[in-house]
Amino acid sequence: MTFSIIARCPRTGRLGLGIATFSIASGGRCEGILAGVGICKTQAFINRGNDLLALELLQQGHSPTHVMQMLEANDPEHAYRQIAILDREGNAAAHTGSGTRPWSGHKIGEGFVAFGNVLAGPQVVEAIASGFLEKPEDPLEYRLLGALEGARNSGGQVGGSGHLTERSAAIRVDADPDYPDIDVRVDLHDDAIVQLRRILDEFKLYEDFYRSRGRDPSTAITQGEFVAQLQAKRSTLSSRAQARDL
Amino acid sequence: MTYTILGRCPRTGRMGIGIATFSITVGRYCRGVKAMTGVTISQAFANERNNKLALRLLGQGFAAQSVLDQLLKNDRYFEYRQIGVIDRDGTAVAYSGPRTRGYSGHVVGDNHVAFGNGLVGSKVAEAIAAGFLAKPDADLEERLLMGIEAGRDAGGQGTIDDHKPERSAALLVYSQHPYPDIDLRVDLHPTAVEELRRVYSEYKPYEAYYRERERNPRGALPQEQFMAALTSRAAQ
Amino acid sequence: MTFAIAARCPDSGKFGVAISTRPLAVGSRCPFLRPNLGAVVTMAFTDPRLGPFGLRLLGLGYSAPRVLDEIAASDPNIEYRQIAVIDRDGNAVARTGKRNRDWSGHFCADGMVAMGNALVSERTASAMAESFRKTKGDELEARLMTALEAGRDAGGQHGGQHSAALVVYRLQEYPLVDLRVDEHDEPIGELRRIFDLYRPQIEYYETRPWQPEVIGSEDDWATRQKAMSRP
Repeated sequence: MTFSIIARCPRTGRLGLGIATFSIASGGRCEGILAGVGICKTQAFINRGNDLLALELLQQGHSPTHVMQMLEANDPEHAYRQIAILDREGNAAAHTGSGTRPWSGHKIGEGFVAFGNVLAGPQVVEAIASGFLEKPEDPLEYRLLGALEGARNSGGQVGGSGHLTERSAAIRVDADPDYPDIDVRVDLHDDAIVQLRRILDEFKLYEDFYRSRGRDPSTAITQGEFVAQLQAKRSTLSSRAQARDL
Repeated sequence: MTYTILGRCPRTGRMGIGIATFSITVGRYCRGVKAMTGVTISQAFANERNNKLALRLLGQGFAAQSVLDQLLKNDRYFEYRQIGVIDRDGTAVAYSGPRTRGYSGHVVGDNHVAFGNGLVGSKVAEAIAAGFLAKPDADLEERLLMGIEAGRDAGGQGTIDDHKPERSAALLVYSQHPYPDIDLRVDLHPTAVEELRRVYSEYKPYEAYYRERERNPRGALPQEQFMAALTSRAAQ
Repeated sequence: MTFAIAARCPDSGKFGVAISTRPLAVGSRCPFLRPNLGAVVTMAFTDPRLGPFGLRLLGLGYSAPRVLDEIAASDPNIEYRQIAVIDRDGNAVARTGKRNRDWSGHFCADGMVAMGNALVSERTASAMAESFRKTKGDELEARLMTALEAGRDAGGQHGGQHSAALVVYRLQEYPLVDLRVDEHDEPIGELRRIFDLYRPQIEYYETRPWQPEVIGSEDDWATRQKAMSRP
């Protein structure tokens, strides 16, 4: 019971993943992303070894299609998995096993794979794709978020007892193999995607501050000072907005 | 401003991190664990490259102190960093650079190291270590979480006049697999440590369920039903 | 007896080296690059082994200054070498061993090293650095080619040059540009001639692997490109 997207930014080559699910702490099961190599995400009934194995194989030089064949050959329960693979050029392969719970399916687009299971219907996968494609000028992290919101808004997950909320969600974008670019997670929340947007928006305000104080600590201000500056900016904006409304 | 416990279980070789900080999304810095090889984190003015470099050196077979020495030699701003490393033999080391803000310091013990910067005082690091050691028979993840909670209870970050709340926290444990056993995060919350405890408590009952349905998809109960069973059990 | 310029382009992530020397086939012994990782140039009394060694140290995660220190600590003949290392954060360092012949030295800037030994004067090296600075905004391969010419025009090295090379890596594990003139009376002029012919085809070779059914020959493609660029 998950809806997800893996994608490559055509401008920067960054690789990214967005996921939302009824399960808890799904972001902690997304180890299959490596900048300069590719992404693999296995969901539904997860074979936890798949994603790192796929990265090894992509790194050796196998195409995503061939990697998928090798994952299948390695796994007697391949029919229960849903797997999406993307290499660093954006070539993709996807598999939705016959043993995954309905409605389950995937859509491969230009440099992305939209996929999910225990969904309201195929319109959810379509909505992942259209949500992703809606604003191509946005940075990859926001396109992934748009994909998740699109899926939620078209019905999201539906199980035996009806609609299932998203209890965890995550967005990850990598540019460098050694450390993440964007890495935000909601592990347990009643409305995980709403919370995810809130966290991503907040993180974006801090992004440059955190990075530059690591790269050049000699010129960094304290975080307390930075937070005070942020608050001052926010109250200026809100008082301006109030003045406009008056 | 952060406080952290790195810990290893000498019996099982499991290793992990517990961390809490005024910063947001601290979990993004917690990639410095390699199963059965080592655990490390770089914080304060974090050098983002350090974690993977340290893991590779640990993987080559360098001992913790040598790894730490090499991280410092590799870094023109080493004085601004706070770093902890535990190697596969359980040797723990730490470095609190003179230009980290503070109180900044560390307590090194058997298979663990507690450290932080921007703290109200040395008692915080001591409390973290004591919290970690309080229940030696508990799971590593429980011990790490207790360490962080003890750090919070001892005053955490900031100063007496200007306490800084914990806005993000993370708990990470690896056993022998290349992927984590436990990987839980709170990226933005006014009381992140409490929230981490809440997420952990809710997650724990699912742990075996998630593992089992991966191994045995045919026999798996749908998650909604599993959750309903949990809830009704709790109600009784 | 060599002059070289190595650089990283922060916008495209490319790494590249342009180099020229009196002995033959300099491209086979001196420049070592890996995409998204860095560049190592090993010259003077060249030990080519230091190239792959440096790349492996970069691969561990060491910064360029540390890699250079490790190479120097490991090599008993370090004073006979001239070495440059650039890492993926743009740190660029060099070491000119004491036993290098006049004029020898290096200029380091953000993401660039210009260096040489047995040069006619320091102008050879500084002219390369100046040229590189002035061409900011151009493609890395073009900037390196122009800088190498500037080094030659400022005097080059004692006894003249007989081989030259231009190597640039971008995203792939194979080079984006890898051109060599292994023996020639005017190797840099010859390198320029080949580069000018090759440059318009770079995109063709990058695209061809994905589109074998539609792309056609280099000439077909070039014709289409010309048609598209007509007003």
